[in-house]
Amino acid sequence: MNAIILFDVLLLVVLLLIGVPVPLCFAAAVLLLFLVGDFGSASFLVGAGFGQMSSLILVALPLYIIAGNLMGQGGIATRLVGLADAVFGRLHGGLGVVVIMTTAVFGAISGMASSAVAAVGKIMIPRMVERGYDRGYATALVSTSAVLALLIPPSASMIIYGWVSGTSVTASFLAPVLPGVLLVMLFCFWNRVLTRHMPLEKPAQAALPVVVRDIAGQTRRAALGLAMPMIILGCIYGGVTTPTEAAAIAVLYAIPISIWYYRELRFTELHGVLWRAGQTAGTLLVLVFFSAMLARMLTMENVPQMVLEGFLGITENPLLLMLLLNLFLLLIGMFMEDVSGILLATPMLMPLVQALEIDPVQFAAIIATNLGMGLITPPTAPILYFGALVGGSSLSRMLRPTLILLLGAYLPVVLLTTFIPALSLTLPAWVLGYGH
Amino acid sequence: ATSLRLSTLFAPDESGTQAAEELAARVAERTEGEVTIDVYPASQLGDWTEVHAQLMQGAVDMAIQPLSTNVNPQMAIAWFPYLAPTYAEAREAYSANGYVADLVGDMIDEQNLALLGVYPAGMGGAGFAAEVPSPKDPDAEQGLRVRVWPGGTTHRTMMERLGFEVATVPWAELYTSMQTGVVDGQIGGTAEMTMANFADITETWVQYNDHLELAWIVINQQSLTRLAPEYQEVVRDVAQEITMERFEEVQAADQAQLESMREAGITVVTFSDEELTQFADVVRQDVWPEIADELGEEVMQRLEAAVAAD
Amino acid sequence: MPLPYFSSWHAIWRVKVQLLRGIVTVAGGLLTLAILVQIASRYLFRTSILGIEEVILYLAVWFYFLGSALGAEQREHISASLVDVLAIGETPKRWVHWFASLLAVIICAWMTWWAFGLVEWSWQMNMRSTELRVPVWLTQASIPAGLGLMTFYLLVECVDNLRHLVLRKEAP
Ligand code: NA
Ligand code: NA
Repeated sequence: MNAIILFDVLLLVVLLLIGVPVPLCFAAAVLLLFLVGDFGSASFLVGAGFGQMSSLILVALPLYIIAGNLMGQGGIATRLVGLADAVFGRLHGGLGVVVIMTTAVFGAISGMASSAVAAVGKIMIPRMVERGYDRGYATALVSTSAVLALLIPPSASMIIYGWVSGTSVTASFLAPVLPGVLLVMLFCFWNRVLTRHMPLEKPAQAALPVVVRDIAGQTRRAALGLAMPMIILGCIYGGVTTPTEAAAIAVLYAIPISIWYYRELRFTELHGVLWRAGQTAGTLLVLVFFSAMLARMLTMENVPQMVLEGFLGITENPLLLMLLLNLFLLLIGMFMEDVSGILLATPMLMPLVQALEIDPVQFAAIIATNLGMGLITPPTAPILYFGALVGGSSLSRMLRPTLILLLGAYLPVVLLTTFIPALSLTLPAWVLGYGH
Repeated sequence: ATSLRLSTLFAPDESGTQAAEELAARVAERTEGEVTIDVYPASQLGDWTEVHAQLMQGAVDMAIQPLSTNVNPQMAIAWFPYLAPTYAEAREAYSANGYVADLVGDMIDEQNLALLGVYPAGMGGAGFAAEVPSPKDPDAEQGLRVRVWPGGTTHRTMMERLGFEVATVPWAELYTSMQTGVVDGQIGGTAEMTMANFADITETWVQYNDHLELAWIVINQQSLTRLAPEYQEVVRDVAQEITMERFEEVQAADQAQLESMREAGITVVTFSDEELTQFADVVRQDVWPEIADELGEEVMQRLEAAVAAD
Repeated sequence: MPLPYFSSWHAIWRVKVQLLRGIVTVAGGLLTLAILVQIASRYLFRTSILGIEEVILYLAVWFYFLGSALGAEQREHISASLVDVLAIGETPKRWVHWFASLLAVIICAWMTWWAFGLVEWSWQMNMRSTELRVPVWLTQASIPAGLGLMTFYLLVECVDNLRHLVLRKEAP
């Protein structure tokens, strides 16, 4: 059976790389295992996938996508940029900081890195190039910092992790926040270093009262948009609603704000927002459906146990095992985007995580930072490629700054998240009393 | 040699999983390894409603778990409130040839399943992350919100009658929901389950004895008849042994769990015989008529008769 | 968007897509509404409505599967393809595209057939939901419906890819 499992995973990866849609790669892996194994009727497998995906926890996913799209179309990105610009725009390399801060806050409104690239990239990359930033650098910075959407709640990846691992989404949302903040600080540091020799246009200086007035004005413009994450988090952590219910409230809030207050979305366009969200969410959930079928078969064949034994066969040193775990996730992240990676890796790694006595909430942060990094790690780097498309930059021009940000910001954060549990568990402990 | 997949919802360290492993060990021993049973604990093969369907399809051979009401709503008899609030009554009703066991055996026979036995996990109750103002008064307004499991229609009605608000929250979110205060408590489990999952956030445990929390030991009929007749006997015998052994020890096991709750600083509310009778009477009188539809007339009559006979 | 071959085909195509979008929008709207009703019932009416979660999940699965069919129509697949990143010639690339889309059609069709099996089984067993006692196959029918439509759109894509391969036209 071992050989068949290996062949099955190989098939999955090959189909993935030749461009078969990812959900159907999982389906093909299911099909192969079914044809060679002893699983009785196929309909139970479909039932297993369906039963798993019929989850109230997962319903949060389409709702946050709807809310994010409403706000995204409602021009919140422009307003966030305006605010960040008023605060940081006058520093040297300030536009870089504006990008980092805007994507971080935008991440609190949207759960998808791609939305952050589209919304922030479209505004910021041309503006940065105009002021003398290297196009490759600007694009790389937008792409790498867009991944913050995964780490800052709400996050599609954390909803899926919580669902697949049986961990509370409420707690999983909080785990990657501090690693995300650390990442923001490292991005700012590297922005300072990397822009030092760029021929940047000097930002206009202004007197303090002018600056303060500007900031106050921009804050007012952005306030109702900024209130959305506050409402979401308040509902969840104030003990009012579950994460799924909070998402519905976010939708309810976003509709009037984007239509009547920001007036950038017409009522008739709601139809478009809804079906496009259905398209995005549906595509993700069909992936969830097939991956649940595959995970069930792998469980029946005791694969997670075999993975554990495989790891323990290499070494029994916990520190080395933690490094191996990261290496494994890094490898998955190279070839898969975050959602597929979480769906494939989590069930397989759970026994190892338990053996290493890693808290599942900490593992949420480990997997989020690793697979988030995977989104910008070639060969399969959808966010990097999407960024290149949005920013009109060649990949080769983005390579150097991307590599520096990967090695100088992401990698340290991944390692710190792995080896310092407090980094991911402090916030859940403080907010929820998690872990006591 | 034949190998069977057995699914259970109990966590690896819970007594239910240990019973499943004991069952597997004895079957292997007495069939000299000809029949091996692989135990999949902690709902690895799906939650219990889903595994029920898989049992019918033969994708999972055996299970130790509750059975869903998807095919037959009368299956709710397993947790019908105050049907048998004492250990003696429960043993009478649920062990082999008891009237509930007979009914359930007939019901699942139509679903391509065979009843081998039952695993009584413990007497049911409710755990709260708050103080319960008047737990012994069935007529008081408690001002607390309790989570009822999906499909637990009987217990929604019962808890509302007992002065609580009811809510439904996904199992995976239940812990944090009790922590943040979306809900105040949970019903549908035992003291052992509460200690395993909610020990540190539980302030009060009310031992309602509303139902005997049990897991049916069932097997797919083809999976059973595929075995040689003597091995079928072994499987049946071992399941019955496990059933009877657990009935012997369940009361003591519950007491031990209540004791460890007290040690953990949890307020444990238990009822005297009179108080228990009072609760049973209230629920039978006010709640049963409202939930009688679940079981149908015929079963209800049998149930009323059994209760009247006590 | 796929190329319009004939005007009547094009018209049917558009009506079908519009209909699909309409259903997805309605399902998404009702889904949100049902959750809001659930919250309101908890805080305003101090109770929970029996079966509301089942309603939410029924709407959700139809929203998902028909939504994914829309994704296939728009050819917005989640893809991890290396083909477009690698420096290989245009013709080999087209071959791989065609081959991948052909595999997708076969796999998706197979899964649609499996899904029909589940619906049929639930129908025969008269499986019903636990709270509202609604037939389970009504919700499970979303799987073959969504996957069936996906198969159709993938087939159209596959034929397009073949045309580009044979006619050496630019990909859309
Ligand atoms: Na986010
Ligand atoms: Na990657």
